[in-house]
Amino acid sequence: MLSAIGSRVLAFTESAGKFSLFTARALTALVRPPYEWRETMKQLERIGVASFPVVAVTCLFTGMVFTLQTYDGFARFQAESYVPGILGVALLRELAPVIGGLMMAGRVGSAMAAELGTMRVTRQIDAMEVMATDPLQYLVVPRMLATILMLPLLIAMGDLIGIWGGWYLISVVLDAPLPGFFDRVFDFLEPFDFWSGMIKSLFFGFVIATVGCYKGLTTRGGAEGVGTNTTNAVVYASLGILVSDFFLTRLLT
Amino acid sequence: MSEPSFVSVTDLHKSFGDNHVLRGVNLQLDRAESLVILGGSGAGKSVFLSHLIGLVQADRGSVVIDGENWAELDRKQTYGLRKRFGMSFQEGALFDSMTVFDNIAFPLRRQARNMGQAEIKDRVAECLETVGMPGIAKLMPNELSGGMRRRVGFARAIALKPEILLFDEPTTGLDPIMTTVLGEVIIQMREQLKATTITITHDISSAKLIAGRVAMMFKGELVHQADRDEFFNCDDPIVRQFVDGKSQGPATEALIKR
Repeated sequence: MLSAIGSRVLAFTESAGKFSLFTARALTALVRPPYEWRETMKQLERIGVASFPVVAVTCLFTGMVFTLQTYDGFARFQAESYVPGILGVALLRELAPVIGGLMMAGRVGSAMAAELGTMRVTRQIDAMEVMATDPLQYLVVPRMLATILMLPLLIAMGDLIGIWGGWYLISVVLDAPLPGFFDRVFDFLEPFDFWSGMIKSLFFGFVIATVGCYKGLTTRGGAEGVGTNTTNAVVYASLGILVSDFFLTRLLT
Repeated sequence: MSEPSFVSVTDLHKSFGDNHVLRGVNLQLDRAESLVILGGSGAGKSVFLSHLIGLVQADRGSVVIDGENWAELDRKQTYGLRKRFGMSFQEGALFDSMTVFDNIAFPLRRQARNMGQAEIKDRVAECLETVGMPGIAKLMPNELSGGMRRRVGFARAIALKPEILLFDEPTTGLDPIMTTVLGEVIIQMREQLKATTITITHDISSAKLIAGRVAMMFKGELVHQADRDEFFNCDDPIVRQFVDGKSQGPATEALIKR
């Protein structure tokens, strides 16, 4: 019993150590030339541009649902006029980065783990090493850069889409237009509300890419290994987002 | 010894967990020699090959290539030394997101940065010609058959005109005709580049074709090494059993245990 707990703890510390080491090595590779512009552009397209529809739909419906719930609640004490401001704060600071981040963990983190994992088990990673190309530099850094850069941009657009979703819900679906909806949103918001969401997205992007690439590169054992590691990549990245969100929120409020 | 060997492996040990895979491998190889390492599944052949190219570091002992010990090299020197190698993997290990052309051009674009587009194109065509598959540059790896994939893997391995060529099971799982074809391709590449070649396989017929010298790997050691003709005529019991493919003999137990 005791030894079982012990070996669990050891295994956990070992993998935590390996992951930290991987992150440190990836960060060194990030600043070391040569820079892989071509690969980075490709990943910016695949990770960023191609994810826009997913993030857009996510934020649109999140904005609408949140508005519906708060509108209903606030109506109980005739405070509907506060809905736009609350929507803005909630969306920019919390909902868009976290829910958008979770969606990206599912979309992008899993793709990274599956792609790099397959390359690992079919020995394409070894082939790359043999051809004197560092997989960290060629595969990991472009993915990391692309996710870190694109997630904040996607979330910024998601912010706007979500707010528009709130407006659409109130004025069209509920047919109870609030005059000056957008003015209320932007009067209520402070620049820091926006920036704290951006800092979060940036950090979540970092979590998604490092976990996805780490799980991919450490894949073992054929198709089954690829499956397990892909699942784990999504689970750990999502947990990482939710847990770090708490600490980031503490830090940023 | 008057002159140090080109490839020199001394008392190489490697374990993965409790599995002691390599138990003291010794090997000396001169330039332009052609060695075939025979051995059953799980004898440690692939792990040994990974040591030769510095993908795996030894627990004990040393692997020295032309005076450079893998264990003493830093990152840059490691990649520098690897540029002198060409390696072909078991299933080809082609990058399946790239065309055949981009696969073969990959080492050229990355290592020979002064090469122009036209030169790269010429070299890729030349490599495909050498392996007997001209005109398939635009195909994707998943459109190729097993034998074709291996040959594209060969072409990629020789793109940078390496001094040492490593082949990991180049003919496993192919029909006898393709096996002979690939054996001939290997000989042709070796003669063109005057490269040192090390091939691991458990295929006797291709070993007979491409080897200058043959070594037998058994339980993580090179138990018998000799020139080709001498090797296939020797009466070492392990070698004999393996070459004749008998089910009864000294090697059976170790193979079945795997």
